[in-house]
Amino acid sequence: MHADTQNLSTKASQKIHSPLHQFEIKALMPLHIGKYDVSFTNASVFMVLTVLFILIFFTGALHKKRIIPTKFQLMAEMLYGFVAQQLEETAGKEGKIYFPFVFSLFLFILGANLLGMVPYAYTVTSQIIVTFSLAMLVFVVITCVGILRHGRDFITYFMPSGVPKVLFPLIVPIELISYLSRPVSLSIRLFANMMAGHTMLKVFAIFTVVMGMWGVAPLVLNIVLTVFEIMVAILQAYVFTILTCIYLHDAIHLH
Amino acid sequence: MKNQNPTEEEVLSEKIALFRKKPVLFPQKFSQDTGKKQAVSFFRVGSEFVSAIIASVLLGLGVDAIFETQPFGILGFFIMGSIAGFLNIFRILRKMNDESASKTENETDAHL
Repeated sequence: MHADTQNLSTKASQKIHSPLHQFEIKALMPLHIGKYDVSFTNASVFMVLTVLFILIFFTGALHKKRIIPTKFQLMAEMLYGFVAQQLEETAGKEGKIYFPFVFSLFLFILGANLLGMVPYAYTVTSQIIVTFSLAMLVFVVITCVGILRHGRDFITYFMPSGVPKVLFPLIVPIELISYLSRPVSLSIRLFANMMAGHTMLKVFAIFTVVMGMWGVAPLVLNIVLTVFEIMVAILQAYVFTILTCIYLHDAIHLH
Repeated sequence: MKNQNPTEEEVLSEKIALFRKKPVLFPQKFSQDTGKKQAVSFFRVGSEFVSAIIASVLLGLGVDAIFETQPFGILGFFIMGSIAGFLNIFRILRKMNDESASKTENETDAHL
């Protein structure tokens, strides 16, 4: 009896993957340059697909520009207008020249998050190295903007006004750490939200399969969670973009 | 006299004119914007403190590895990271407080 139960549970565990199985990286085209593994993986495929999806959407939507827009043209224009408005409101008029960067970033994250919601698709933004690379890109661009605009004065960013000079040896390292924590914060927020959401969806999907007739309850919950996860996907792309705009504002205006 | 067969442009102009005549509820739009900003702030509060500690601990480990100062590098940077994390949260909450105060002020002005 005990052996039978064990046998059944082994069979069940063989059929059902772990909730974290969906994040596994698989090398589709193994490639090594020196000691570095630069294989084309399932994550790479979905990054390419995200870019293609965005390109096809915008090319299709704006192919024939009409005065009375089609639904797709309206969507494309609304996305453009939304990011432009957020950038102007947050970073000011001087921030407008960085619009292509901010808009590309927003579309890539939004596209990757939404593409990850398609069943069997891979969520690129659930990999910390992807989100960290994006956050480092933002960090490097913003630091370069600050240095190029203000030169040596950029260092005053780490010296808040109103603080006595005696406290500078204590305040400057703290401000520096606060500044350096930005890419960590940006990347962890996006990665953790996407990974946690997708893991939860998979856990409830497993419950649905395992619980048989009673699986209706987790199935209903899973439908609700899917809607919630789509909302999180959009909100996280917005949060990443708006924080980029806030950091741009800081770099342009120094505080 | 109205044109019997208006062009697409004329229909659009008419719609825009009608839309512009509608009263704009500024306070409502304002509260929507503030809501979005507050959502961003809530997401920030959750991660700013942790990320400041992670960044500082990594720096401390680096300093310890280079200058062989274990465990003072990691300890010192951990303390500074915690302070930086608190400072980040304090700034976010202060900003949220300011935004909420200005929202209340605007709503009061709109009612008057």
